[in-house]
Amino acid sequence: MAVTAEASGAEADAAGPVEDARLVARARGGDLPAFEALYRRHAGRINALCLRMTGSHALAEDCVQEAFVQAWRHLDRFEGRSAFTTWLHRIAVNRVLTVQRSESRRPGGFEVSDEDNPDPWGADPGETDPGKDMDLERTIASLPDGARNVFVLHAVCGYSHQEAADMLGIAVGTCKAQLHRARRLLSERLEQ
Amino acid sequence: MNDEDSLMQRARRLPGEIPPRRDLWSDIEARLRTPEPAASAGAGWRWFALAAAASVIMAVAALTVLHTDRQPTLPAPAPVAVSTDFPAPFGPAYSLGPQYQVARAGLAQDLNSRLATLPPETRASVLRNLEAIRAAVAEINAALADDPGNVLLQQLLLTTYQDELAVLADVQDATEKLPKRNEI
Amino acid sequence: MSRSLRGVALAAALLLNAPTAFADRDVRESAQVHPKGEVEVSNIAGSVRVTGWDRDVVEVTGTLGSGVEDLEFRTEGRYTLIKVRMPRNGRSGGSDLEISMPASGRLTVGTVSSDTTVQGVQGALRLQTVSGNIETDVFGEDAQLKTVSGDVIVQGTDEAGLLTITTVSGDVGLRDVRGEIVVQTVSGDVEAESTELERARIRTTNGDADLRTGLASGARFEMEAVNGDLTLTIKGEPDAEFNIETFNGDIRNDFGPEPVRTSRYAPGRELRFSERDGSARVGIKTLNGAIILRTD
Repeated sequence: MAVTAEASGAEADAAGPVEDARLVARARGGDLPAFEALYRRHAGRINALCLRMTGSHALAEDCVQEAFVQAWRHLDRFEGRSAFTTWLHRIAVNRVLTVQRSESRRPGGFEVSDEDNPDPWGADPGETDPGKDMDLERTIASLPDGARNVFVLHAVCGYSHQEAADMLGIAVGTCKAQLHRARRLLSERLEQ
Repeated sequence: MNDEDSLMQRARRLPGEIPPRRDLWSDIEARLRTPEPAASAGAGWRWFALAAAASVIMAVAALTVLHTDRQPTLPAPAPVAVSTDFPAPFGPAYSLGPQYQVARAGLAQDLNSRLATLPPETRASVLRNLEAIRAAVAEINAALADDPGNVLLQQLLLTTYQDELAVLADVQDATEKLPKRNEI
Repeated sequence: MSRSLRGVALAAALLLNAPTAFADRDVRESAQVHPKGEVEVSNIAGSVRVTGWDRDVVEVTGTLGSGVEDLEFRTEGRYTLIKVRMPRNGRSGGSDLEISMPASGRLTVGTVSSDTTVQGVQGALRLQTVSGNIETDVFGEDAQLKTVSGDVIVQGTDEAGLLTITTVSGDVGLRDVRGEIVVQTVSGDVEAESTELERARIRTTNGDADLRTGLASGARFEMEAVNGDLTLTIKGEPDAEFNIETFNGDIRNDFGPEPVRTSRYAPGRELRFSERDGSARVGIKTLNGAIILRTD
């Protein structure tokens, strides 16, 4: 059963931060199994975020790995002022931005898909779950980087403009403008 | 708009979790066990660093002011109505920061009275050029509204603001030599 | 004193400091100075011509405009001031000053509408005017030239220095400059020809810029315009990384690949490529202006 981005957030929060904090404390001390538990709890959300922002399974998996590796290395910097998930998201977003910058000169967006790089939102013969909105996912993937990043963080994950702007390293005004643009482009493209 | 509201609803209903195609833990664990050099703390993405704006302000502000007596050479010019209402900055201006805004506000404040002391031809030329800069800013802003992530546009906007600052500073500099209107 | 008013001169001799309404007066002043000292010249209208020579002396000759109060000429330590002083009220005509100073000295000139011509002064230069023109040669020291509407003409001597030029609407012409140039104008046109430059930063809003020069190894060039057209002609074989972008303009290049669209969703063309080792870096950007890249 699909759990929405927001709902999974809420659900995770019920047991979430407390359990996360406990695991973080242990992981800081070098407890690798505790960190693995954190991975199990959060990999799905981080992967969803990275997949939607990069449009590629391979790139998303690279970002997920990198995010957890960086998180482990910098656990001492996590001060517990924000939720662990937010902190982890920030690390993941940083990695995604780096990847996007190096991929950025590829024209045509994400239309290129091949055996090694299947379209994550492509019609999968076995996939008939009506809960998944492939049209929307695919159209989000077709957005230009800036607009897509903002739409995913704000509209899908539910971060505020300020939070999304901070994570992306842009001004709040730019964030709002990008969202406006994303919504306009999505509306136009979904109508077809 | 219903269209967009339902879009936002659809967005919120997208699945929050999408498991990776395979379990990544073993790869992650392998990397955690190997010590790697610490990643350098990136400065982030802000290419239009405050430092860049600040250094321009310093360069522009450190102009020579020639100390001379105030000396009238011309009849009192007619009052000049100059709009110091520069177009509201967009995008990167947020990152230009308080230092820039202060410098600009300071220079723009005196602009009218200083322009009034310039010889009429020069005054007209300065006004035309400030108007040209204003028009350039408006054009770049309009393009940015459609394409906010466009780095080229952001860079051009930044340098155009720097150019405006330089003109304001030049006017201030040039008019140090001339009397203020109320002294004539 | 003016010869034509000799009759009044005797009476006037008793009133030495009274503002005079005589016609133009000749002046002549001179002083021994330090060879590397600073000379500052201030004039309103008329002309200023400064020449460097090999004597440790500053000498001024010239004609003061009618209504000018006097010429202040004073030396303190290594600093010499030559200033045309105006009375509080009334108009005055322009003053023409001819100044000779030690060639190794530094020079500062400030005028309103007076033209400024400098030749053979090798120390740092700071020349500033509102609407006058500036014409100077430059050597290896820093030179900073500013006008609002006056034109700037610089003759280099192939010595590397730092040349900073700012105009609002004045045009800029540079020849045989070396080292680093920074030129900023709103609507003036810029034209420069050199054997080689290490750094060039040229910014214009609406003016055109045309730069013809060799690229020093590791050179850094940046040219930016909003609406102006930018032309870069490289002497010799380019060894550089090129980063050329325009939002609405055209890119025409003699070498390198074809420009491409930046994105299918937005206007914009870019041209990014490397020649040889890519040692220098050339960045050219416009909003609407055309970009022309050539070799010579």
